[in-house]
Amino acid sequence: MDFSSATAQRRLVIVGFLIVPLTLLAVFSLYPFFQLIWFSLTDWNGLSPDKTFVGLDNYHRILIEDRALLRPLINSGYYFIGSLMQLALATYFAVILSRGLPASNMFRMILFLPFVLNSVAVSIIFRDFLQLDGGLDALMTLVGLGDYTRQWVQDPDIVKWSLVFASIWRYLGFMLLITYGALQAVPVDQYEAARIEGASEWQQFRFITFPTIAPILGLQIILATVGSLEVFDVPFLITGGANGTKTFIMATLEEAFEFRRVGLAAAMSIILLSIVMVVIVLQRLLFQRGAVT
Amino acid sequence: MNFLNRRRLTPAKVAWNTLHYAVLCFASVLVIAPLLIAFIASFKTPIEMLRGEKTDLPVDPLNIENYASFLDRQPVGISFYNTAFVIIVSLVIVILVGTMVAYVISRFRFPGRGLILVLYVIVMAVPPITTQVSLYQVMLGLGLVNSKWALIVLYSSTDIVSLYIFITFLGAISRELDESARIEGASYFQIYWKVILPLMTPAISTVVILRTIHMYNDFILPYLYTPRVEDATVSMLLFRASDMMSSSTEAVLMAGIMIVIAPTMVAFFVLQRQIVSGMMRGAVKG
Repeated sequence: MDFSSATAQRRLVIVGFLIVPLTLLAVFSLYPFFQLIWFSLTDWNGLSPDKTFVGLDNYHRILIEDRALLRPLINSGYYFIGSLMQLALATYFAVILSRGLPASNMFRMILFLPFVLNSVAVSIIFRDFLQLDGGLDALMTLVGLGDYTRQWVQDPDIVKWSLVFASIWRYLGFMLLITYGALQAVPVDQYEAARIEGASEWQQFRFITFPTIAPILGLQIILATVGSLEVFDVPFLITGGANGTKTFIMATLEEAFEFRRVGLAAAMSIILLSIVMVVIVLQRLLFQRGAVT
Repeated sequence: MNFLNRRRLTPAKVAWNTLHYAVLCFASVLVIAPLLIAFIASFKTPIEMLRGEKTDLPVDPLNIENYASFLDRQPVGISFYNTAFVIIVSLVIVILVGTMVAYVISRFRFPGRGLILVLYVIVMAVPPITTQVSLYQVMLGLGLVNSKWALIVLYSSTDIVSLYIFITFLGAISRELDESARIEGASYFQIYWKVILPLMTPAISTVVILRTIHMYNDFILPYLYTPRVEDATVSMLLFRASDMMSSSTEAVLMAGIMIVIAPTMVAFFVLQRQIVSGMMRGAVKG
């Protein structure tokens, strides 16, 4: 084969194979990102042909003037606390399931099941489960806890935790699976050696299991943080944002598509995006430090 | 790890295992209860729904009235067709485009390669949900709002995780096979088609599993881009049905939910090993 045609062919395959994906990347990821920054500096309503440049007015309004716009961000705190509980539970389940107890595969599949089901389906199921005289109340009555039923969705103090519960129900199995995967890397002979030396179960977890899975747990905390900033499906479908359960994403989409304040919504998106970026950069810094020590 | 169990069981150990089992059973009941109650409800008559407790079993467990009613009144067929169409076309695009990028990135050194990788890493860090405000305008401009193609385009173009799976997978495979094909006179395209693509089958099946589950279950994109009945996916089918239903037709809605989750349930039990390992591989990389 002649050399120059090989070079031409090489160039053809590189350009030919990259042109479609790079166009898609530019049109559907990069361009919207820069456009978002531009929108956030205007007062555009999404319809009018004119976009007036207003500088940082939208940011000023969200961060300083109208604190109500930022309030939904507080709800992320509930989901964050929930996801830490979820991680603790998932780690516990992963550790006991990885010991090969009888039927452990069945338990793992049951706990994982909600994660693969349709979002709208499980949300409606949960909405019914939590309603007055719904499944949860019936279940509690059945086991003699009928006096402890609450207005799970109607009571503004309880509804946030009900939604956190729904969210743990949905995502616990996923965290379990990731931790379970990480546990497979723990060297079995170390447990044997530890047991011969008389180490307790807790000591085995503390000194053998935990150090091995710590990086994965760290990664999951970051995923949980980002996840709790982006909650949308579960509260949107269960309460529609009523009773103070609106999340920041719901508020942003509402500003953009219902109130037609695209400029303001773009600024809210940029603020959320900045927080996510800070979290990711922090993760990088922490991980690199972890790698050095 | 089975040999661990053959160790002598002390009373303390038995007590601990009993406790672990109790917790596992309790958690499993909590996971299954909402699903089971919904399943039971799908066989109940309106009167049973109104009068009885949610945990009561249906009087006639073979009452398929609710299923018939949902199939009759809701656009079930078209929604399943739309969902299947979107999933299949998106998967073909994701697999072809993703493996092509992986091939070029891992087998060639060329100017701009580093820049492309950096761009993908940055885009992967930006959660797609945060750019919907401006992305929606792009889709409007391209005339894609209210079209199944909006979903196809977005599922296949903003899926950097699959790309990442392809690139790391191919990067770990030795170049011997493609180099010997090269010596035998195969063109780069033939190498991609006859050597690389078959080699990537395990990565492709991981991506197929992860993406199918994601697309079948996704709500936000159909909600924003395909709100009309004729382009509805199964998520929108349930969302619209739940909007229309009243408490008297709750059981019909539950039947609809069972119709939508049935294919997932079947796939989950048939393919559980593949799903679990695919998820573990994909999640850690994502």
